[in-house]
Amino acid sequence: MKNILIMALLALPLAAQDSFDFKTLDKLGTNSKNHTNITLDGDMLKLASGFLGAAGGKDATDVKNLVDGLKGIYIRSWEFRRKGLYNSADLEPLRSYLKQAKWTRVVESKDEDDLSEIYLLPQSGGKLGGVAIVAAEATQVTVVYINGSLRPEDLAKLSGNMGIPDIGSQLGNLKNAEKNTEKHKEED
Amino acid sequence: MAIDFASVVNDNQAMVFSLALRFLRNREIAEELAQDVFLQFYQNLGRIESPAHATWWLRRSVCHRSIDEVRKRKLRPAVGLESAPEPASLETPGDLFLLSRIRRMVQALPEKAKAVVLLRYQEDLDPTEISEMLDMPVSTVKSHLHRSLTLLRGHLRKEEMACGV
Amino acid sequence: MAFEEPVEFEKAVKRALRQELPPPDFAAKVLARAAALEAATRAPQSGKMIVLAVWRKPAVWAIAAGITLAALIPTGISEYRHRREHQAREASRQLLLALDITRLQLQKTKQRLQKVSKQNAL
Repeated sequence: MKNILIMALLALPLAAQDSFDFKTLDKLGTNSKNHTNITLDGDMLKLASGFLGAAGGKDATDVKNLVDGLKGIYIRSWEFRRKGLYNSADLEPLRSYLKQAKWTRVVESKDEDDLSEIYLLPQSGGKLGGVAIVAAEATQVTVVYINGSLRPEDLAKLSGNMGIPDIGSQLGNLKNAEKNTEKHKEED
Repeated sequence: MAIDFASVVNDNQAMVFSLALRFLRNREIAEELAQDVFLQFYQNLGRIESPAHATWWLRRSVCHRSIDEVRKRKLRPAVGLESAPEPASLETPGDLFLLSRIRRMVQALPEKAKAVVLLRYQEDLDPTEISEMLDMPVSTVKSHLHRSLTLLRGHLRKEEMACGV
Repeated sequence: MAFEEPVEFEKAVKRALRQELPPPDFAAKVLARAAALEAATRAPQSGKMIVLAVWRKPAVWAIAAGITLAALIPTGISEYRHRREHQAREASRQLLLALDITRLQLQKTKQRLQKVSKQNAL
């Protein structure tokens, strides 16, 4: 079987990433049959966005608008021949990082062997500082890590026509929680 | 209008190579054929009227030459997509590799149907343009499109059901 | 993931069939072959023996190499541009793939949530 491997464009040193060190997730791939690795830092994002922008069209403009404020997009995915070939505890480095870096888990969905989590990093002005998705299924694990400034409506566009009303309402809860925290701080 | 050969190569190399690759399914052979197409174009440079004409000429040439090359090398799979056996084990289950599965299925289509699908979805041509490109009636082009998409979608569903999605 | 609407499937087919990039030196090879073809075409049209004799002379090889080089020098400059463009295309291809993967995962999560909600409602 052919391995489908998308090579990283650059090997990023930790400092340049200014974020999570993906090498800590390498253990997940020990028994994988396929893996996907996409690493797009600021320079490559600008290059890609410029190229797409030059091509024109509404889609290209939407992508360009989405990507303009981003520092990096990182995708890691591993596929396994059967269930039981990875240890979900090997995802803890990422979860710990997100927790200590003040990301908020806005969605956690568990269905039999499948677990999905979505984390957002709130920023001032109603924007987001990042989105992370951790999807652990029986025979596949996918991590999406988007670092940088984006608007909630860009995130909704990313999900396509189906939209993410759940994320939207979670964002609403998040904003309210922030307001309440600010209010409590003032009252203290 | 003087046509700059280097510009034509630069602007069209991805299109020519990509079409050749989808037919021939081998990078080395596709590169060789794509180079030959450009060389043939070079020899016919005097007849080309505009950059758009150049693109049209190259597209037509690579499609026809690729189909001929496939027949010559007998690169077609032994069975067409319709009679492919039910997937017992999948090469790449999971949504993540959906796009490569679709590519694989398109590459398994019979050559004329594949040419129609490639010109429609890779090159964005409409059925009338495709019919001129392939010397095929418009009704046949539309029939190929409809049948191929139905086949691809059906086969994709079968794979997903086998995977338990 | 089953496609509910034919239009969604067509979009997926379009994404799957995005143009593949040729090797970075493809254009240079084509131009070099065209230059060699040009050189061969412009060789004297005399008899075979004379043509062979001509091609044995180092000066002719030097001229042919010069013509090829003259064709290649501009490609040397455009080679850099081409490499940069190749990088940009590859980056944009990876970007679009990354966005596709992100979209798929978001949609899967939503479907899972909807399934769980329905189960809880029952």
